[in-house]
Amino acid sequence: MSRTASATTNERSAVLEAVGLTKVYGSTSGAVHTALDGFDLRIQAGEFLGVMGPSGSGKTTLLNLLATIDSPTAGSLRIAGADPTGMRPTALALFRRRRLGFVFQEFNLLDSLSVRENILLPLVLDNVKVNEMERRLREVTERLGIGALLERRPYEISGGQQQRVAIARAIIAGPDLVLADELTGNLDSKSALDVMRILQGLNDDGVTVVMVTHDPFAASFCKRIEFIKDGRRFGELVRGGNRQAFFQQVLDTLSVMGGVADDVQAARV
Amino acid sequence: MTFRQLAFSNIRGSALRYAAFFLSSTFSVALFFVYAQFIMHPDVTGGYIYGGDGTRVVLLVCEVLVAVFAFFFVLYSSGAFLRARNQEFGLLTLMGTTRGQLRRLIWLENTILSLAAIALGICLGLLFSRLFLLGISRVLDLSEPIRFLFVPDAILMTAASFFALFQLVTFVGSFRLGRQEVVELMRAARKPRALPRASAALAILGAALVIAGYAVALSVEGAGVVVAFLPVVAVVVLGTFLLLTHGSVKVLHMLRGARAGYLKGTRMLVVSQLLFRVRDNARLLATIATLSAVVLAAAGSFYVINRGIEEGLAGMYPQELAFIEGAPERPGLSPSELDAILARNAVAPAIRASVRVHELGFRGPDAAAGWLVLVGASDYADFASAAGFEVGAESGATSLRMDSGTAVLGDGGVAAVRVAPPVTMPPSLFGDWYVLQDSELARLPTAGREYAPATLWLYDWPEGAGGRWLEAELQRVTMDEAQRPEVEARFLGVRQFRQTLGLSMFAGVFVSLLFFIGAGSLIYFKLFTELGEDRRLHGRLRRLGVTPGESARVVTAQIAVIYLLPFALGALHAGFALDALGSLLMQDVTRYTLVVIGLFAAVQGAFFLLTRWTYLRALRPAG
Repeated sequence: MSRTASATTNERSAVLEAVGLTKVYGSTSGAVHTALDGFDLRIQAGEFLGVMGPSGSGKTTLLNLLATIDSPTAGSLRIAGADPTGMRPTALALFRRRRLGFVFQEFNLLDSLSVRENILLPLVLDNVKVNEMERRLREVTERLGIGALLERRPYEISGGQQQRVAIARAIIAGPDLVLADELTGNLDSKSALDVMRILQGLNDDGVTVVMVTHDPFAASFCKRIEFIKDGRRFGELVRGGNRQAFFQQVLDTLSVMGGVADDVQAARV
Repeated sequence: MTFRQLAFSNIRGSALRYAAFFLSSTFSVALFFVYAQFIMHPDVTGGYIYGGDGTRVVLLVCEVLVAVFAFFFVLYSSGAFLRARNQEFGLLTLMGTTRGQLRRLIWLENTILSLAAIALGICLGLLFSRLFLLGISRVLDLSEPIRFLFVPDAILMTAASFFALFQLVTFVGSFRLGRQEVVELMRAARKPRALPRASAALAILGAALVIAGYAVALSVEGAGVVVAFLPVVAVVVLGTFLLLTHGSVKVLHMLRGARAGYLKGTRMLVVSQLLFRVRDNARLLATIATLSAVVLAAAGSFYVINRGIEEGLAGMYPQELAFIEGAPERPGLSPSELDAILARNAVAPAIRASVRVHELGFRGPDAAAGWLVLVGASDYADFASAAGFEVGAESGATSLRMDSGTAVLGDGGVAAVRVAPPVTMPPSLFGDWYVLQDSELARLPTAGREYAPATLWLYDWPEGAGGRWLEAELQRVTMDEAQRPEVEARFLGVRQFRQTLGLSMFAGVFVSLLFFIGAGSLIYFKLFTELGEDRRLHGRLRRLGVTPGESARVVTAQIAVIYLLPFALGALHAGFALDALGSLLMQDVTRYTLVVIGLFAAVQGAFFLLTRWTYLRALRPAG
C-alpha cells in the first residue's frame, strides 16, 4: 500500500478527532431523541478500532457522522486534518471519495457495473490515467485474491467475494480511513472469517480502519474497541495478547453492559 | 373495519405511491377523451374536412393507437405498482389473508382508483380541449374552427372503455400475483438482471434496412414514389426496431470496450446505466420513433401542400391592397383615410398607384355578354409605371362602339386593346380590361351607363410591414359586406382560404401535437416508474462520494437519450419521406421540413427539460 510508509512513521498522529459529537433527532410531533450525546473519539493512523454497542446505542449514528453522510447537531469533527462539517455538498462528496473508504453490510455494489468497474469507480470519477488505474487495480485485486472475478457481475459471485470487491473499492484510492459497517452481517461464518482476516491484513499494512459491529467475533480482530450505550461512551478495551483471549474479554464486557443478551446469542461463538 | 374501508385506507395511506399510477392513468384518460371528443364532435362528423374520409380514418387510427398505448401503459404502471407493494401483500398473506381476499382487495383499490381517474381525466380533458381550441384558433387565425361543447357520446365511450381496460388490467395483475409464493412476495430485494445482450448481425441488418430505405427514398422520382412508398415504410420500420433493440445495445457495448474514453469521469456510469435503460425501453422507443416519423411526415406533407396553396394565393394577389374609390353613389375606402392609417402605423407604402376605370356592360360576338373595364392609354401607362409592371404585349386588338350605355365589341368603332394588368383586383373589376386612346375614351357617349367612372387604388407595402394591427384597421374600414366587391386585399384572400381549410388544418395540427404530448408524457411516466431504483442507486453513489453534480449528469444523459433518441430517429425518417414527397411534387421542401421538425423538436426539448427538472428534484435526498 502506498500509505504504509507515512502511516508507520507518523504512528502518533490522529487521523480522526471528534470532540463532543452530539446528534439529536427531532420529529415534527415534537418528540426529541438524542442518538449521540457528547461523544469523544480519537483515532491514530494505523489503528484498527471497533465500535460496539447494543441495538439503538447510537453506533450507526456515530458511523454516519464519521462517514460525513450526516451532520452533527453539536461537537467538532476533524478527519485527516479537514473539518467536513462545514463543507458544501460537492466538496464533501469529493472528500469522501478521496479520503474515506466504505464497506457496508449490504456490499453496495452496482449491478450494472462489472467487478472491475465497481472497484475502479472512485478512480474513474477522478479521471485517473488508465495505466495508473490498471496498476492499482492489479495491486489491490492480487492482495484480495479476486483477480479472477474482474469480468463477472456482482450478482454472479458469492457474498464473501462481493464483500472483498467492496473492500477493494474502498481502498483503491488510498484513503486515510476505512469505515466498515457490520461488514460480516450478511456473510456465513467462513466468509466472515475470510473477510476479517483480509481487513486485519490491510491494517497490518498500515490502513486505518474503523468498524462498527455487534458481532463479538468480528470485533475480536480489532486492536481497540470503544463501547457505546445510549449514545454515550461506555468503556474501552485494548487488545493485549491473542485473539481468543480478547474475544472472551469482549463477551465479558458486553454482558457487563447488560441488556445485550440477544446480541450475544445472535453472535457467532 | 370492512374490506372496503381497508381498501380506502390503503389508498389514503400510500397516497404518494398511488400518485404516480393515478396521475398516469388520469392522463391516459384525458388524452383518449380529447381525441374522442374531437372525433365525435358534430362539427367534425357533419362538417367539411379537407381530404374527407381519409382524414377521418387517420383520426380513428390515432384513437386506436391512443387506446393501445393507454392499455400497455396502464398495464405496465399497474404491474410496477403492484410489484412495489409485494412486501405488503406478503405480510397480509402471512397474517392469514386468503388469495381470494387479496385479489378482492386489489380489485377494490383499483376500481376506486380507476373511477376517480376516469372522472378526473374527463374533467381534465374538457379543460384541455377548451384551452386547445382557444390556442389553436389564435395561432391559425381562425375565428372558430369548431365549437366547444360537451359530447355525451365521447364521455360515455371514454368512461366505458377505460372502465373495461382497468378491470382487465386488474384481472391480469391479480392473476399474476396469485401464482407467487409468499416468500417470493416478502423478498424485498429486486432480483438483479443480467447484462443485456445484443446480436451484431441483427444490429447490422437494422442499419442496412434503414439505409436501404433512405437510399430508395432519395433516388425515386415522380410516380415511383407512390410505388415505393409501402415497401420502404415496411423496411424502415423493421430496421428501426432492430436498430433500437439490438443496434443501441451493441453501440453501448462498443463504448464500454473503448477503455480510454469509457473509464473517464461519469461516462462509465452513464453508459452502463443506459445499457439497461435503453434495453428496457427499446420497444417503446422504437414505437415512438416510428410514430414520430409518421406524424412528422404527415404534418410536414400537410404543411408543404398548405404552403404551396398559400404561395399560389400570393401570386393571385401581387399587391397587398386594391380598392375602388367611388363616385358619391359608391362610398368606400378613401386614399386619404388609408394614408392616415398607414402614417399612423409608420408604414411607408412601396406602391401607391391609381387608375381611372370605366365599368360597362358589354355584348360581344357569339352572343357573349358581361362586364368590362375601360381605361385610357396614358392613364394606364402611368398606372403601370407607378405599380411597377411592364405594359407588355397586348393580348388582343378589337374594336368597340357604344350602344345606349352598353359596349359592343368587334362590331366597328374605336380601336381597343385587351390587357391583363398583374395587379390585385377587386371582384367588381374582374372583367376584361380594354385600353383606349385618351381622346377616344373621352368621346364615348356616357348616356345610359350604370356606373360613373371611378378610381382604382393600388397599395403595396414591404412584406411583414403590415402585420396584425394593419389588418385589424383595414378590416374595420373595409369589411362592410356591401363594400366587399370594391375591395381586395391579400390578407382577405389568405384568410378566406384558411377558413375553408380551417377544420382540416385544425385536425392536422391537433392530431400531431396531441401525439407528441402523448408520447412525451408516456416517456415521462415511464421514466418515473424507475425513480425508486434510481433513488437507491444515487443514494449509494452519494455515500461513495459521487458529487450532486455528477449524479445530475448521469441522470441528464439518461433522460436525454430516452427522449431525444426516438425523436431524432423519427425526424430523420420524416426528413427522407418529405424529400420523396418533394420529388413527387417536384418542389424543394427542405425549408418546410426544417420548420416542422424544428417546431416538434422544441416541444420534445421542452418535455426533456421539464422531466429533467422534476426528476432531479425527486431524486434529491430528503433533508
